[in-house]
Amino acid sequence: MSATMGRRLGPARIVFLSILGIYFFVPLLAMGRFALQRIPVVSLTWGNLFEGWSAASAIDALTDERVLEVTRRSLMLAVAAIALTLILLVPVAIYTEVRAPRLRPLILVLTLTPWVVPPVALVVGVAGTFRSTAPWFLSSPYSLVPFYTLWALPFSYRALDAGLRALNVRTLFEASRSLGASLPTFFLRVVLPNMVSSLLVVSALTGALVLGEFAFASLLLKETLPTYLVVLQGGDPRAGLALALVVLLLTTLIIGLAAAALRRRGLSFNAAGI
Amino acid sequence: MTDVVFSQVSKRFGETQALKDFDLTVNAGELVCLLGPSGCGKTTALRILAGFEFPDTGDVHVGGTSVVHVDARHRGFGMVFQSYSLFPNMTARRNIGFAFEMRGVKGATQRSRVDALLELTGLGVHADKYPHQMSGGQQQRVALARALATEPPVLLLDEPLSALDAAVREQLRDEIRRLQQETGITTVFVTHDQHEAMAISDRIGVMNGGSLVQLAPPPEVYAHPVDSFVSTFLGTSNRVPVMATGDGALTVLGREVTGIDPANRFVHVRPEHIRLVRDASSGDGVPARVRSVSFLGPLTRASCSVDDTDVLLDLPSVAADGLAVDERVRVVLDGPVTLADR
Repeated sequence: MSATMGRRLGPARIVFLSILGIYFFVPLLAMGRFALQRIPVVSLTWGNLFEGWSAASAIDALTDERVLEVTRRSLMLAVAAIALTLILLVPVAIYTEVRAPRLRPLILVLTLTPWVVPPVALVVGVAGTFRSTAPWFLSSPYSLVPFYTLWALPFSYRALDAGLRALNVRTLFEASRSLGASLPTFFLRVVLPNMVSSLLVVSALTGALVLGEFAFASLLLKETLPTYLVVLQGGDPRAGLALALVVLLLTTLIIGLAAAALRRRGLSFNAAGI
Repeated sequence: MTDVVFSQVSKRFGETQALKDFDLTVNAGELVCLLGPSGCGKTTALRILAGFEFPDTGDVHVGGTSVVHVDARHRGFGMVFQSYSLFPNMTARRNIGFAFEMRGVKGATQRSRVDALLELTGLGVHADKYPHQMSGGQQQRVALARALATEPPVLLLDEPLSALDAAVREQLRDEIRRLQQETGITTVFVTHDQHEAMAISDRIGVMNGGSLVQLAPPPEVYAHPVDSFVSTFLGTSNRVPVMATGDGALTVLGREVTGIDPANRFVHVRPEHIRLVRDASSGDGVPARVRSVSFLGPLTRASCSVDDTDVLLDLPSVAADGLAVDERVRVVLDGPVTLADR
C-alpha cells in the first residue's frame, strides 16, 4: 500500500483519481445535504452549502427504538456469519494448501458458484426444502446466517487462500512435524498467529457484507438494518438517508480500524490479496 | 551413531516413476550428498527418509530399525529446507526454543541450550530478530540451529543453499561441514550443484532416473565415473574418438592408450588432461584449430576443433598469452582417460 502511495503522481494519474473522487464524493455530498441540511430540497444551491446543517435527523434516527433493535440484530447476524465462515473455511483452506494443493483450482471455482446463482433462486430453493422438512429453521432470523456465509464465500475463501499461500504453509507444516509438533500445536502455535491478518480481513469484509445485504433478508421476510432502512426511507426520507450515511461511516470505520490494527503489527491489508 | 539404509525403494507419482529400486547405505557419522538433475528422485528419497512420503515398495532402516511406518514427528530427525521454513511469528530464539519445547525441554535448561546454539552458529546478535528482519543466510543458519537443537540422530538437508547468493553459499556450506564433523551426525544432503557436492561430501551419490548410479568419494566419482552420464554431469568431459593404428594399438589425441576394449570407439577425457602445444609444426599430438578462448583466472579454457570433434582443455593462463581464435595448434593427451564409451 505504501508503495502505491510513494509512486509519483503523473498527470494521467491525477486526472483519473480526480474523476474517481468526484464519482464517489458527489453522491455522498448530495446524500449529506439532503439528510442533514434544514433547507427544502428545491432551494439547495451552491450558495447555501454551509448553512443550516444539523445532526438532528441523524440523532432522531439513531435514537429510534426500532433502529436500535434492528442494528443489534444485524450486528448479531454479522458476528454469527463471521463465526460460521471462519469455522467452515479455515480448516478447508489449510487442508487444501497442505494436503491437496491439486484441488485448489477446483475449490476456487466452487467458491464462486454462490454468485452464479441469484439470491432469489437460492432462497426459493432453500425455503422450499426447509418448509417441508424443518419449518422452524426459517422462522428464526438466524436462518439468514448460512446465506450470508455462502454469499461471502467468493471473497472470504480467496482472502484466506491468499494469506495461506503467502505463508508457505506446506513447508512450515513439514518443518513443525520434523520438530515433533502435533497437528493441534501446529495450528495454534504456527498457523493461527500468522493468519491474524487474513482472518481480520475476512471478518471485516463478511461483517460489512452482512450490514449491507438486502436481498436475502427481504426475500426471507426478515427485518434487518438494510431492510428497515428501506422502510424508514419510505416514511421519513431524511431520517432514512441520515441513517444510511451513519451506517456507511460505521462500516468504513470498521474496515479502517482493522487495517490500522494490521499495520501496527507490521502487516498489510493487501497481504490478503484483495 | 546411526546408519541409514534404503533397500529397493520405489515410489511413483501418477505417471512419473520418481524412485526405482533405490538402494543406498549411509554409514554412521557420514555426510552423503545426493546429486542429480531435477526430477532424478533425490528429493523424493530425502522426503521418504524424513517421513513426508510413503514408499510404494521397499524399506528404509535407520540405526537398524525400519522407519517407514513411523510418523515424521516421531522420527526425530533434523531437517533444513530450501525455503528457510522459519516460523514467521517467532524470533530466532523462539524458533530454536520451539524445537526444545516439542521434545519437552523447558525453562532454564531450554534457555541455556538455546543460547549455546545461538553462540555456536554465530547468531548471538540476531537472537531477538524475526525472520523477516534477517538475511537469507542468517535465516538458514537459524534453521540449521533449530534442526540440530535436540541432537537428532540424522540430519536431512534439502537444497539448503540453493536460495542464497554465491558468497553466503560457500560460507554456510563450510559451516555445515564443520558442524557436521564436530557433531558426527549422519547427514543426507540433497543438491543439484556438483561443486557443492564435491566440496562437502564424504561420498557423493549420483542419481539419474530414480536410481542411484554411483556412490563413491568425490575424487573417485570425478576420476572414475561409472558411465557417460556421471562423467558429463560431474565436471567437464570431452568425448573424443579412439583411433586404431595399423599394428593394432589404440591412440587418443596422439598418445597410445592401453587397457581399453577395442569395441569402444570413444573415451572421456577431462580438460586438464589435454595439453596444448603452440608450435603447430611439432610432431606431438594431433593438429587442431582454436575456436574460442576464455580466461578463468589462473587457468584459461580453450575450445579447439580436432577433425570434427570439439575438445575443451585447460592450460595455465601464463602459457595462453596471446592465444588467438583460429590459431593452428596441436593437442596431446596428457593424463588418464576417465571412461571408455561406445
